[in-house]
Amino acid sequence: MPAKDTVHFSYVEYRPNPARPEGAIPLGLVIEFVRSDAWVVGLAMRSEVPKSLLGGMDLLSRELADSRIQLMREEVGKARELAKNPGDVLRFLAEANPWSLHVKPPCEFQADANEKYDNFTIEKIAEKYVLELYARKLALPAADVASEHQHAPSYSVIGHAPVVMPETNLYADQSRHADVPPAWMLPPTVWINPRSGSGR
Amino acid sequence: MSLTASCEKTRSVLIPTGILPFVNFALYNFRMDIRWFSDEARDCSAEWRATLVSADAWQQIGQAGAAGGEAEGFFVQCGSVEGYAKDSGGAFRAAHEKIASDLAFDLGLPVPPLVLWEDGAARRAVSRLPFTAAFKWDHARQAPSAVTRMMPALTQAASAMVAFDSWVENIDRINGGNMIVSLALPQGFGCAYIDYAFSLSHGWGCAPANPTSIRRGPYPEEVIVDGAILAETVFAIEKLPSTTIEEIVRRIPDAFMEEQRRENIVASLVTRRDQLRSSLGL
Repeated sequence: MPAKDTVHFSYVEYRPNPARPEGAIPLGLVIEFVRSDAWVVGLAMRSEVPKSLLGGMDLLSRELADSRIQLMREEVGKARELAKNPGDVLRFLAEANPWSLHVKPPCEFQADANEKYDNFTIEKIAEKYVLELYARKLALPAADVASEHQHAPSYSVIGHAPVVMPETNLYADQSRHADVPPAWMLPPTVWINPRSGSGR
Repeated sequence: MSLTASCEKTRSVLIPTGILPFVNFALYNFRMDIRWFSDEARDCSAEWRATLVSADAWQQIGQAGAAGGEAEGFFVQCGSVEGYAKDSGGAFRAAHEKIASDLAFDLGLPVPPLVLWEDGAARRAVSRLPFTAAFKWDHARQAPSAVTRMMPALTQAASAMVAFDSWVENIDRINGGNMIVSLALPQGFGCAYIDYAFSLSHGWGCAPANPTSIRRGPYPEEVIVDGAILAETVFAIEKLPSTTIEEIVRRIPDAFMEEQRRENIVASLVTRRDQLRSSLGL
C-alpha cells in the first residue's frame, strides 16, 4: 500500500453572515502536514479580489479583504505559538476566526506520499497539496458540485508565481455563480516547525 | 416561549429613531442607548432578556470549535435566527454570560442578547448574532480608514464599558477577539462586547468580592475615555435597583449555578455598585 500523508486543510472566506456559507467569498487556504521531521503549515491566499466583489462590501470589509494576506499571516503566527501537535494550528485558527474573516473548521485528506516527491522541497510539496485540493472531491463542500467538476485545474503564470485557476464552480459553497475563478497565490507561504520523531 | 417565532413575528416592526425599546426605560430614565445592533437583534432583545432558558430546538451549524480547553463555540440556528453557542465547560461560564447580558440590556450597553440552553447534558449559552459583516477588533484595527470612521462611536461604547467591565470584573479583555465590530449596519457602525465567561464569580468564587472595583479598560486600548460618558454609565449603574440585580441573578437555574454563588454575586454587585464611582476616581 502506498504511503500517505495526512494533510489538514481549512478554507479562508469572507462571510457576510458568519453563521452561514451563503454569499461567502473564498479568500484562501491553509494546510498543515508532517513530512520527515518537519511540521509544515502552508498559507495560499487569493492573489486578488475583483473590484466587482469589493464594491459590494462596506468600508471595513473592503479594507480587511485587501489586507487578507497580512491578517492571515499574523493569525497563523499566533496559532503556531499555541500549537503543540500537528493539526493544532488549523484547529486554533478556526476557533479564533469564526466571524466574517472566517476560517472553516479543518478537514483532512490522505495524499499519496509518492517517493518521487522525496526530492521535492517542503515548499514544493505544500504547493502540490494546495493544487491537489482543487482536484479532490474531499475539498468540495457540495457533493453535486464535486461530481460535475472533476476537471484538472488550469494553470497560468502571473509574474514569477504560477497561479492555479480552478474552474468557476469548483469552490462554490452554495451559490455557483456568486464568484469568479479565484487566483491563488503560489507557492504558498510555508512555515516549518522542527519536530522530533519520524515524519509521516 | 419560542424566541425564534417571536423574533420572526416582530422582525417587521421598526423602532422609530429616538424611541428606546427598553422595558425599564421609564423606570431608570437612562437615556443612553449604544446597543448598535441589527434591527433583528434589537427587536429580539427585550424577549431574550425576559427569557431565561431557551425552549427552542437549536441546531448546530458547522463543526464545533476544537481548540480544546476553553469553552468551545459554534454557530446554531433555529428557523432563520442564528446564534453563537458556547459550552459552560463544567464551570459557571454560561451563567456569567447571561447575567452580564441581562444587566447590559437594562443599561443600554452593547452586549448581545443571550439565553441559556440546556442541550441534553450540556449547559450552554446562546448569544444572538448582533450584525453581519462582523470582524473581531484585532482585525478591524488594521483597517485605518474604517477605524477613523468608527472611532467617535467606538469611543462612546468603550468609555461606557469601562464602567460596566469594572463593575462585573470582566478580566477577559486580554486579546483582540472579545469585541466585534461592523460598518454594514444601516446606520453604519455596530459593536458588540462579547464573552463574559470570565467575569463575576470567576474571580470572586463564593467569597464576597472586593467592594472596590479595579478599573478595566478601555477596550480597545486605543480609545481615549470620554469622562462624561463614563460618568453617565456609572450613574446608570448606581440607579439600577437592587431588586433588578436580584431578579437577574437569582433566577439562574441551579443547573447553571448554585444558590450560594448566586447570592454572593448579588451581594457583590450591590456593594461594588455603591462604590463604583469612588473606585473609578470620579
